[in-house]
Amino acid sequence: MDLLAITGLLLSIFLTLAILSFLFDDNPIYKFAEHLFMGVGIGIGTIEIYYGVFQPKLILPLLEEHRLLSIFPLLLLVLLFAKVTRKHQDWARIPIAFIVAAFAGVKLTGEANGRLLEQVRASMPDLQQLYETSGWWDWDNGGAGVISGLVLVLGLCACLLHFYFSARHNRPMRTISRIGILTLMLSFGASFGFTVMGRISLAIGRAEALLGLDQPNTLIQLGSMEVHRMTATRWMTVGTLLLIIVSIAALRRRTAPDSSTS
Amino acid sequence: MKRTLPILITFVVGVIMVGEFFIPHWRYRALTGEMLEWGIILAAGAFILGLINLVQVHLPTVVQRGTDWGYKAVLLVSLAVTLTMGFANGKERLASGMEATFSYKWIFDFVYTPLSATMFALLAFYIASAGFRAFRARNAEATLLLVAAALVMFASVPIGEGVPVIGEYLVVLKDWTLDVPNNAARRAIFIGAALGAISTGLRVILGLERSHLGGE
Repeated sequence: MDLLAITGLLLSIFLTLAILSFLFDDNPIYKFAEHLFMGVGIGIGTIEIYYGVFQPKLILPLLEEHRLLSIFPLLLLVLLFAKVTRKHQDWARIPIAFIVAAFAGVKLTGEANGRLLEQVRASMPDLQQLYETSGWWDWDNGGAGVISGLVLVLGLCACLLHFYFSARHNRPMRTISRIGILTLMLSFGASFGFTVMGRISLAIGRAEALLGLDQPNTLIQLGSMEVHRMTATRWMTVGTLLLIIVSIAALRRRTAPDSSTS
Repeated sequence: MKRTLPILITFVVGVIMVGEFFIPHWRYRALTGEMLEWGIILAAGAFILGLINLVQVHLPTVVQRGTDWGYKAVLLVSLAVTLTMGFANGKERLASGMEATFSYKWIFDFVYTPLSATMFALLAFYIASAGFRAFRARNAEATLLLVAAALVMFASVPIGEGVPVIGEYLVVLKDWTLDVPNNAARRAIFIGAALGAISTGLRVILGLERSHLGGE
């Protein structure tokens, strides 16, 4: 294992613990990691945009294929960058209007076709066919059956009626609206549980990385010593953790007299 | 003129893009496809504009040693290093084996990946703590929210699946909750959002919604 790989491993452990140090309190080490994340993230975003959009869609067609039509987006791009100058920033309204209109037009038909019609179509189950394949309720098939089909349709209708604010909510409407609220609550609870489990999986992944469980436990060369990768990772984690704790304590001690005098 | 021309462009471009739905001819598709490509290029340009703005905001603070100048310097230096390595490595930037040297892939693997994963993992603690404080079985709605969340979390882990007798039924109920009532509510929200997107799109194209053009 060369020096660069060891540095990378040590750095990833440090950055993981630096972000997790926010659980204790907002501190300079967390802020350092946060700003590093922003800088690297924006840099990666810019590079991927350059190689994913600018190069194949603008630069190559202009310079290599000599495609004259590509002059128009270049011109619009120049107008967009006029936004950074105070004097000519009004010119940027033209490309902004173009972007907004293009995506509004696509969204308008796309949403109507893809979301609205498809969602309505998918929410009309064939109850006869459901009864023939799964009966009323099939435990072996994830609870599929007529009951599930009816809950889906009635739940959807109740939720839609709950959001129908322009209708007067009289007694029958209130009952339907309450069913809608209950369906929404079930959905929000399930989504919350699902999100928590996703985040916990990520936390487990980071814990595995800190304990060296994410890579094969091979023998690695550390200077003149040969140690198992897992052992080396765990020592690095402990060392980095101690370093972060000592650094936070030292920084707090240094700032404490300043704050007391002010 | 400052607003009239952009409003006119919005209308013309919007009508052309909507027209694709009603005119299924390949020439028309080619025109709208080209315009959409221009839109994608401009949206990417807007990202670069954000980058320029970021530098404009942070660089003077670093030069004048203003508040938190050190953190802002970290941001700008890491940004500059990532950009330099990205352009230096070119198309091979994410190729396997590139992490053996100090490269864009090395930064991606050892800096960006642990930072982004930990940032999202950090949310697990805050979501769980917020849930603990917010989830009180005060009424039927809150109880249902609590039960659904507990069911999904409990049945997703091996300890929940392994409960004698009811374990397998818990998993079926969890899948059913995610597939049926969850889908019903999500579809209702999607239908509502689609109706909202359609009406907003129409307002933009017709020039009734002008907030994207800024003030006078």
